[in-house]
Order: sequence, then structure tokens, then C-alpha cells
Amino acid sequence: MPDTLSDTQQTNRRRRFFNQDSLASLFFFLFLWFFWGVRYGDYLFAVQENSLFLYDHDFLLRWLQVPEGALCYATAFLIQFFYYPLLGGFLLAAVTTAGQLLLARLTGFKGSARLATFLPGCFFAISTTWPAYYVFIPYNQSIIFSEALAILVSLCCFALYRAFDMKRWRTFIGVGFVVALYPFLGFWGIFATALCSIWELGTACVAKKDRVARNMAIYVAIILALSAILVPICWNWLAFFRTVKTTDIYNRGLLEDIRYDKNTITAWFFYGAIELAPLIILVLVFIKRILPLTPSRQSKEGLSSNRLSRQDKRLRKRIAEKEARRQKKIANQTLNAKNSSLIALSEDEIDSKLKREKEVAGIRLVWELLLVLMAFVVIASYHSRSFFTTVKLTRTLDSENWEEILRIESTDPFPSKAEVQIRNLALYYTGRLPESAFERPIAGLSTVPVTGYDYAKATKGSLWHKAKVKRYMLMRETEQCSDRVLCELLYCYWGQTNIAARIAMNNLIASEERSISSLRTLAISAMTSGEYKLARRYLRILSRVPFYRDWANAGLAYLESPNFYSGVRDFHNDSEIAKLLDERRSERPSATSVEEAGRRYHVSKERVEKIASTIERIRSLRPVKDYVTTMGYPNLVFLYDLARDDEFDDSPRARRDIMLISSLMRKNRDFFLEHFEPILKEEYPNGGAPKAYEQGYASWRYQLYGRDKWRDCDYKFTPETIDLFNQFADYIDAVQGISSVDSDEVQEALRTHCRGLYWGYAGDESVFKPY
Amino acid sequence: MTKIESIQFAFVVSAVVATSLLVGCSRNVPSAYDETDVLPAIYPDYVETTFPPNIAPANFMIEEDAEAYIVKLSGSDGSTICVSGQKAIFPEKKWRKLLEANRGGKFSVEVYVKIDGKWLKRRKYENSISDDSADPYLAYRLIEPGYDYGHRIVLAQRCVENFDERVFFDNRSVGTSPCVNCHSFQDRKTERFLFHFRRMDNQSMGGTIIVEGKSAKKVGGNVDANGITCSYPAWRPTGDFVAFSSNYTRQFFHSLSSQKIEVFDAFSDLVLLDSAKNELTMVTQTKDEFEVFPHWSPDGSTLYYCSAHFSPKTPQSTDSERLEEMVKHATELRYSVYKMTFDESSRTFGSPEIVVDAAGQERSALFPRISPDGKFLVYTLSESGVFPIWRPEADLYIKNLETGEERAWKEVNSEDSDSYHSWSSTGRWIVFSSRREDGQYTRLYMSHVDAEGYASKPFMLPQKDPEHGRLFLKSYNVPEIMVEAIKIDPRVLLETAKKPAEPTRNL
Repeated sequence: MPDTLSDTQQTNRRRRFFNQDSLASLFFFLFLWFFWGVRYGDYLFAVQENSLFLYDHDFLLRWLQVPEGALCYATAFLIQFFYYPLLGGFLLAAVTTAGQLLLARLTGFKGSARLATFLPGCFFAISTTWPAYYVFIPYNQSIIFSEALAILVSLCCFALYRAFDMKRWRTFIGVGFVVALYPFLGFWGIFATALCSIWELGTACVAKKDRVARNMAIYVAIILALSAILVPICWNWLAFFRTVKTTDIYNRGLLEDIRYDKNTITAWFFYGAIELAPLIILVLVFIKRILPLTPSRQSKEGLSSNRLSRQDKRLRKRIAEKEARRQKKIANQTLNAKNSSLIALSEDEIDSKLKREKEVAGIRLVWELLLVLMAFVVIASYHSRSFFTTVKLTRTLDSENWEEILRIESTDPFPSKAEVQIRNLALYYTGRLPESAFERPIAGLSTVPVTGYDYAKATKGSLWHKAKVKRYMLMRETEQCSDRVLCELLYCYWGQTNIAARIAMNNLIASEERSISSLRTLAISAMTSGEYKLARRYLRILSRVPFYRDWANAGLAYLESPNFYSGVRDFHNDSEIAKLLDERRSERPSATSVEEAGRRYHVSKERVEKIASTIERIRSLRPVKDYVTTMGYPNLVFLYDLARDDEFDDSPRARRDIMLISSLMRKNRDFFLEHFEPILKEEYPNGGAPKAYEQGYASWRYQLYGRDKWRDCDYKFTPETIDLFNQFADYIDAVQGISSVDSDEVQEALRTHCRGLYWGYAGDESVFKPY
Repeated sequence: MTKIESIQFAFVVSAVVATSLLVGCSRNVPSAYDETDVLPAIYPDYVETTFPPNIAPANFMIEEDAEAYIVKLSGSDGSTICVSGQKAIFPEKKWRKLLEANRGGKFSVEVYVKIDGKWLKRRKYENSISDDSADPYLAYRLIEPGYDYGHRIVLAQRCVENFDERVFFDNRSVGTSPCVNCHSFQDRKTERFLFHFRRMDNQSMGGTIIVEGKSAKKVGGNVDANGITCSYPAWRPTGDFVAFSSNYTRQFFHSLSSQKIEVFDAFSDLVLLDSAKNELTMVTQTKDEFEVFPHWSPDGSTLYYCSAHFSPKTPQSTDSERLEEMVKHATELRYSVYKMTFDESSRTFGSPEIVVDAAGQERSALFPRISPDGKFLVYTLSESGVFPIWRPEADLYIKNLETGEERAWKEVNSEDSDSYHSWSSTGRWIVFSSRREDGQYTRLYMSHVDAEGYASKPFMLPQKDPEHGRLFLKSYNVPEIMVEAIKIDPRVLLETAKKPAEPTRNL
């Protein structure tokens, strides 16, 4: 209990400060939770899909083969909860805020100075989002998110170091951090010792008069710094981690895992943000040591200085004037003005009001700066709209909700390549590909492209146009989402299971066999092609992942059901071997029905049936014959090579749609007309063909017969097509031939005037411009 | 602690120990159970097989849903090992004692499972313990069955007597994950061995690392201006010579077949390297004959190899046209086994003689390996091609070189690819790689071979965690048996890999 009034006031004030600080931290936590859990929720989900955590001894040991492995293992454990982005965001925010609180406690900064302790968390938040453009590239996802945990552990180490008074013990413990932690935390073991070293260096700076203490602090600082440098080298000499390149011994994580060009805007932000967080902590610890002044002392001592006195006088005068104005106002308004006590404020009251006003101003400043800081995080972690739509679509793809996919995709005016790929699939699965294939731009970037004119001016030395081009190049670079991980599943859904398996296997290798999405694609691919034992391998691994257990068990149950082998045929070159393999397969199902299989793996019949329907749908899209390719993959944007032209006659109608749309996209007039005209006569003798077909047909007729005669046929075009096509023809007439116009402009005009028609129009090759 | 307290403490401790022992014993062998005539479902399949007396514990897991599991091993000498749990992990010392005590005999395996509170005893089975020890070490490459560069590839050594596995080369230590392949030991000893090291980012830094005792050197190994490098190696059992095939390997992919990839050679020839002088001599240089997979007879007097014939329809076609044609006809390439005598003094080879005419039977014979006594030839037979590892129909065949009798080695074959194989120094054990698990991931199997060339039921190389074979997502590639551990320090290999290659002289 405080003994005096003054003590009570001080305690209250501390409490108030404490409350303000806690509130700021709480606000920061809520902001981070929103930032990760909501704004980047779909991204977090994608991260966990490209990661893997198994409760397995071997799995842990494989992580421990590299420095920072233990940290990544712990982070991988956290990442699995990103399956529920709100939970994942909560965990990330909690760990980051805990780090901030610990840093604030260790540095003892109060008031606005305390804001500096939020900086590492802010930079961490920024650094986690910049690699988001590469979420579809397989790499070690844990590395990115491990910083929050690492900072917390390092600060705990530092707190432990400071808890010891004896220099000898301190030195021993400080060196112990790097010795014990480097094999598990890598760079962060070095960092923990570096924090101790910088603290001792600060002590040496402060202890100017006490030479013994200063020398001792310098010795300890040097010992700690040397151990932070030499111990990692020793660890590598001891050959525990022969995989670490010499240049990477002091690197954060194994940053070569992040596979993109370091000379890009993304890399600048990412590397900048990720390196700044530990640097700021080092600086704060050093500042705290060399300036051991708390705000209260600062204010007390500060009042005595001339500068503050002048400031104080100004404030005092302002308070007195303000109070006088207020009193006067009250007096004017109050009826019994005579009774009102218009007493001038005493010096104590002015002092008290002065303090209160300063506190309020300080608090306001803290909150304003905190808001600025949060705004900075949001702005610095800029991502294009198409990025957010892409990750949202990827997440929706998991649930195979095709209608929802089309709805989400339609909200983005400039869809990315990945979005178009998913949209094409959704259109096909909803039976709307022939109707809506060309309704929306086929692929693009959010950034509005600079024109040829801009390029020309920039080349001639115009600074403005140079800046414009540079900006465009930088922005475009950030928007190029790779679809490497995503496309494996898409190929699978398109029936290209061998290609899907190839890409998924390469992705699995690149992610060091830690990718749920690749394992799942491999499982689906193996299930589709009837590879029972292989599918079992992947499903068994997935059944150990808590959030995918049900799906994997349903898959395992499906393998035992009789319909697993329906529609599977072996394509071995030797027909006898193929027949033998088919016979072996038919003997394998061990359950008589889906229900029985489901019971065996404790999953519902519905879940097994859902997987069965997915596999059956994929099987219906598989190629009709086996063929070989040396390299290259079918194009999922323009639907090339998903179905070979020579399979047209052998394919079901739904598959023929892919070929016809593909022929429109690649402007193969002869194939389209040869195969579409019979369909037209048979299925749409009086008009009413799907829009893409009709418009494509119109454009080819326009090319063959010109503007006057293109409609001279039995087929009745809809008024909409005629109207759009007339607009198109007007545009062509106006610009006197497409070849005379800049290709970007043509693209834009075609999208505006005639939507799908341009894909069928072969007037100029530049019209067809794949991104 | 007072005296009374000490006595109390000792009493409590002994009571706890005695109770735990009693509980342990009673748990090990259920007193009441129902016998069933069903063999236990275990993984890996170690039922009724033959083990070498020096093999690591053959741990397995019981693939049944049960409340409790007990496994009891009993040797004919009366020794027993009892373990509980779904994963039967046998203590190494006890296992070794059991095998030693019953060498040349058998041990029985009893599996008890507790289902619905009731103990069931599965059908008892016996495993044999051979008199012949296996060579203690194996070298192999661990690699994912991928289709691209950039893998993490390690060369590892495994002691088959325990679970000790040591990596002696890791490709990620050098550059951007170069390819590491084709390790070969001279006469199963580790004094001299080699492996290739190829860097995609800097081809000039690639080469063949040749180990001599505790030192190593890197040799360039370029054969001609096309940059075709030495590929599949074979150390002559004595001397400095290494035979290589020089291959221009290409691949293509199937759209539907479960065999997803086809690998073929567009050119291949045989070359001979004098490892002491870094001198290369072309052994064969024929455009239409593709020689590959050299292998020396145990005395080093004969070189066995495989060869296929391909003649393009238009003989004057360019290399790219030829390659295009080969892609179309790659599945028609079929290899037979040939041999040539070798004269060391003149470095000359005799005329080729056919040993296995597989091409004549429209099949492809690959990886010829002669047993140390020179009596048997084991090879892999597939429908066509040069890469049987991706071919599910690939099987091992054995030919008695004395009688000329050859047959499919049905005892060891499976319905998936059985391919690369290596004889032990005694010729009584063979290790081979097989994809019988799932057609994709290669695992190693060992089998005992008797004097007549009959093999015992193969067993998967034991692992500490019996589930390892299912969860491990890498393939065991190119198993080579060794009689001793690798002596060279892995760091020397690493440093050698980083150095520029020594040039070779083409004779």
C-alpha cells in the first residue's frame, strides 16, 4: 500500500500508463489478428496447404538435419492451424504480441518511446505477406513464419541473461546460447548471443568512470561477439550440417529456399522487412542500455532544463487562459452568476492540469502513431486485387463449389492467369464453357499497361515516361503469380493425371516432401489411374494430418470399394501385360459396397461417395488413348492440348466442347468449322447455339465471306450477336484494319465492343496475345 | 535419511521392481487365448523367409486393429524375445544373440492380438537363419522418383548389421543441387570407388569423383565435343581400369500409362578409363549399336555389357531428325547381353559374343551381373528399353553360365519392377531394388541364393521403424554391396567436388 498521497498518485499514474500500454498492445494484437486472419486468411490457408506437419519421429529428425530446423518444425506445427485462418491469425498475432510485450518489458520504454517495440512485429507482418505472391511456388513455408517464434525465444534468452548478476555466469550463459541454440534455431542462436553482447557493449559505454567495470564489460562483449561468429563455424566444421553452404552460416533461415530474383521489388521489401526486425531489436536494446532513463525521470530532469521550462511556461499560460475563458463562459451562461466561484486557479492546480494535459497529449500521440504504424503495415504489404481473388479461388477450389468460384472470379475485372485457369475449369464443370468461355478477359495483370507510345518516349529520354515504364515493370513483377503448385490440381481435374502427378512430384521434391497439396494431388492422380498401392501410400500419410484425416480416410475407403476400378484400363504397351494388370486390379476390392468400405475407415458413406464422384468425373476427362510427349504441358488458359484433335470422334460430347473451344482460342478455323458445322445442323438447326460457338462461327464467316455475306447461311444468329458483330465491323472499318492499331488498344477495344468475337477473328496475330 | 527410512525406501523400490517384472512377464505371454489358422498380417512381409545371421532386427508392424499386441520369437535353442505393441521392435542385443544361437537353424514367430478383450493367437510361422553371413555394408543413392533436376540427392552407406546409415555425399552441399549418380566400388571394397557429379549451372565443374584410399580427385570425363560424359561405370576387379558407357540419355512421358515416363539413349558407346593416368579409350564407337551397362567378370578378363541395334529409316538424317525418329521408336529398342575378352597389356578387346539374346525374343536384357564364382549371370528383363526401373513388367532372370540354362527368378520377382541388383562377396546373398510396394518408390530386398541358383523369399532391408518403408518418400537407388565401411572423410569428397576437374586425355 502506498504510504503517502504522492506515492498513490505515482502508482495510479504508473497503472494508467500500464493500462495505456496494455491497451496499445491489445489493439496491436487485434489489428494483427485481423491482418492475418481476415485480410490474409486465404493466403494463410494456402500456406498450410503447401506445408506439412506429422506427429512422427522421423519427421522431426529430418527437420533437425539443418540449422533452424527445430524452429521450422515448431512453426510447421503452428502452420497446420492455418487451416482455420482465424485460428492461424490468432496464433500468429498472439506470438508476435508476446514478443512485443517482452521487448517492451526488457527495454522498459514507456509512452511514445514504447512504440518502437511494435516495429519488429510490424516488419515481421510485412515480411510474411510479401512472399505471398510466391505462395504457389513450392518452398519451405515455415521459414517465413518462424521469425515470430524466433524473436520470442531470443528475447527469453536475453531476459535469462539479464537475470544473472555475476559476469562469469553471464558470459557462460551468453556463449551457451549460440552453442546450444545454433543447431536448432540457426541464426537466432547467434542473435540471442548478439543481444547479450550488445547489452554489454552498452554497459561499457555507460560505465565511463568505473574503468574496471568498463573493461570487464568490453571483454565480455568481445567474448560474446566472437563466440557468435566462431561457434557457428565450429558447428559446421563438426560436420553436423554439411548441407549448409559457407555463405549461409550466418544467414537467416536457409534463404536460398525462397526462389525468386533478389533484384525485384518483392525481394527488396521482403529482405528489407525480414532483416529490419532483428536489427531494430538490437538497436533498442543498445539504446536502452546507453540511455537508462525512464520517462518519469526524463520528465523530472527535463523540467529543470531551460528548454522545457520555456515550453512549460507556454503551456502554463495556455492552461490559465483556457481556464479563464471557460470560467467566463460558465459565468455568462449561468443564471446565478454571482454565486458562481470564479476563482483563479492556484499554481498547484495549474501544475496538476499541466501534467494531465501532457499525459493526454502523450496518449493521443501514442495512439496516433500506432494507427500510423498499422496503416504503414497495410500499405507496405500491398497486394493486388487479383492476388486476393486468386487465393480465395484456390481455397474455394478445395470445396469444389464451382458456382461460388464463378461468382468470386467475376468480381475481379483483371483476372490473373491462375484465376482464368480456375474459371475455365468451373465453366466446364458447370456445363457453361461453350456459353461463357469468352465473356471475360482471358488473362491479364491488374496494373494498367503502358502503351507503345510511353515506351517510345521513355527510349527517347523522357524522364516522366521512363518513370512510368519503370513503375509498370515493378508493379507487374509483383503481380506475376506463379501457378506451379496450383496447376497440379487443375491438371488433375482436367483428367491429365500423369501430368498432374509429374508436376506434383516435382513440387513435392522442391518442398522437401512437405506439401499437403502435392500429396493430395498425387493421391487423386493415383486413385484416378487405379494405382491402388500408390494411392494408399499418399493417403496413409495424409491420414496422419489432423485436418485432412477424414478426407484421406474417405479415400482409403474408396480404394476398397468396388467402384474404384470401374473405368480404369491399363495402357501398357504390351497388351498381354495390360490385360494381366487389369485382371489383378479387378481381384483387389475387398469391400462389397461403399457403406462397408466407409465403415472400415470410420467415415460416412457420403464422404466416400463424394470422392468417388470426383474421381469418376476426372476419369471421364482422361485422354482416350495413351500418347507420348517429350516436354511441355497443356495450356490451361487457352485450353490447348487438353484433348487432342484426333480424339474428337472417340470423345463424349462434353469433351468435344473442350476441343471446339480450344480450336477457337488457337484460331484453328478449319478444325472448328469442320467439326462444328455438323453439330450446328444436328443440334441447333434453327439457331440458339451457345454464345461462344455462335460468335466464333460468326467471326469465321466474317473472315471467309466479308461483312455483307457472313449472315448468308441457314443458321439464324441471335440479335445480340448481330449487334455485337456490327459494332466489331464498325470498329474495324474505323481503324482501317487491325494491323494498323496498337495491339493493347485492339485488345481493349475488342473486349469493349464484341467480347468473345475477337478470339475467333484471325485478322492479325497480335490480337492473340497470351500473357 | 534415517535407517528406518532407508529400509522403507529399499522395500518400496524392490516392491515396485518385483511388481513390474511380474506384470511384464504375465503381459508377454497371454495365458489364455484362442488359436486361429490365419497368418498374421505384418508389414514388412517377414513371414517364412531366410535371414543372414548378422542382419539388423527385422522389426515389423502388425496390420490389425486390436487393443493389444504381443510378439514372441523362439529359437530352437530355447531362447526367446517377447515384445509388445503394434510395432514389434526387437532389442538389438537380444536379436543378435537369438540369430547367433540359431545360426543355420530356425526361429518361430508367434503373434498375439487382443480383440474385444480376448487374446487371439495367429498362426505360428518360422523364419530360417542362414549359415552364410551377408556383407556388412550397402551403399545406395536416396532420391525421389521425380522427373526433374533440383532434387536433394544423397549417397549413403548403411550397415546391415544395425540401423546405422551415414551420408557420405550430399548434393546440396555443392552449388545448386547437382545430380549425383552411379557409384561404383572396386571389387566391393571401399579403397577405390567413384561416382559422378553433374552441375547444371556450371557443367565445366562436373566430373567423376574417383576415391583412392582417403584421398579423392575429380576427373573431367568428356568423351567428345558433344560433351557426352561417362555414365554407367564398372571398376575392373583389379588394376586401374574402369569401363563406362557413354550415354546421351533422353526421356519422354506417357499421357495415360501407369508407366509415366520412358527413358532412352539416343546414342551410347563404351569407353575405358585408366584412372591412374586419366586416359580415355573408346571401346566401341558405333552409331547404330547402343552399348550400355558394362560389367567385368570376377577375374577381370571379360567385359559383359548390353547392346541394342537401331538404324534410322533415312541413314543420312540429322541428329535432331534421328532423335525425333527415336522418340517414336524408343519402345522398340531392345537390348541383349554380350561379352568381350580384354587384354590388359594392349588395352584391347576381343570380338563381341552374345550371352543372352533377349532382343531375339523381343525383350530387353539389362544390368548383367556375374556371381563372384563366375557361375551365374543375373540380369533384368523387361519388354523393351534401357530403363527397367520405370517398367512394371521388369523382372530378374538368372542364367547358369556353366550349363547355359536360364530362367525367370520367380522366387524373387514381383508384379512390379524388380531391377538393379548386386551380389555379395560370397555369392550367397543378393540385394536388389524393387518397386513391389507401390510401383513408384524403390525399396531394397535381400535374398539368399543357394549353390544351384535358387533364391529364398526376399525380405525388405530392416529398418528401425517398420513403417519407414511406407512413410519415406525417397527411393533407394543403385544398391551396391560392400565388404567394409567407407573410409574417406565426407568433407574430402565435398572439397574435391568443389575443385575444378582434372582433364582427361582421349587416346
